[in-house]
Amino acid sequence: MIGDTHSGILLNLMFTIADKVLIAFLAILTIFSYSMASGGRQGVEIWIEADGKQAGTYLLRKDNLIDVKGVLGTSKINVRGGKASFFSSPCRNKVCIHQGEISKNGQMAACLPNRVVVRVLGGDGDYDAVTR
Amino acid sequence: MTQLHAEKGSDLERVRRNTHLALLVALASAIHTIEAAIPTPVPWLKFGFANILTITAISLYDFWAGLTVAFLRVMVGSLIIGTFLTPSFFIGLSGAIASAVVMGVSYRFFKGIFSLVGISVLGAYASNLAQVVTVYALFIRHSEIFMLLPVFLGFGLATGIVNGIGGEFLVGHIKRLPAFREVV
Repeated sequence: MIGDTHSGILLNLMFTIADKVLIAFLAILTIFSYSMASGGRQGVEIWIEADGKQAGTYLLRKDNLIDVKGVLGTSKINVRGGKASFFSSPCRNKVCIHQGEISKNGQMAACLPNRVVVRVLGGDGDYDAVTR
Repeated sequence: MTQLHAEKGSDLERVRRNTHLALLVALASAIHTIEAAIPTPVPWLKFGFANILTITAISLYDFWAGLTVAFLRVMVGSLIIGTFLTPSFFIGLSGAIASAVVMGVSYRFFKGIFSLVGISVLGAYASNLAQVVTVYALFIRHSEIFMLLPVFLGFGLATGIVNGIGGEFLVGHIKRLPAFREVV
């Protein structure tokens, strides 16, 4: 039985033909979905939401340091050179800051613990979809 | 001690099953806890090594064993890390249950066709899909969250393969242990 292969040399035996087909199919699907999702245009403005409520929109071309009051405290959002990023946030793991800069239409950065979401909007109004 | 020959459905067999599952849950919870300390680019994007134990439970026993290990692992693990009932708990729980269900069902029906690697990849995709849907449904109601999906799927493919190989090794090893003999 396949599960009984114990040596690393026999690693190849673990993959059945169906496994390889499945992995190849999913890899192609993933690459395809990646090219679909990443082809955005430079956005015009950012739309900030705090605790489910709109907290304002700001133009991306104007450099700015925006204070947003979230659930835990104040998140600072840095707009510089047409790109926006979390500058500081009162969350524990600082994931929002490590997400880096966003600038393309539809891109999003979020600080889940503080419930602050920043989205990039605009860019010739080429929305794929409008929700709610 | 001599080899115990337990009848299927007997008390002894049930005790054996529960003891083995308890071991798997303990191991999975430990891995879950240690993994929480490893930083990843997106918070709920985890390697999911604890899923190896879910695969093992499904392979050694059945669908329900896998679901039990997945559910209890998230419960115990989150209580240890202190994320119980926080967003990451619900995200993790949805992923663990979705992958256990998909792996359990696919193991049942495609056992001879896919190895544990294929089963594990299916589980990883189910897990990541469920997590993104949970984030969308409970926390961020914007369709942009689905832009993250390619990242999750690519990551899921890698972790699915790694965990599947881990599962093959663990199951292969466990079946040699005297305590686990006669189980299947």
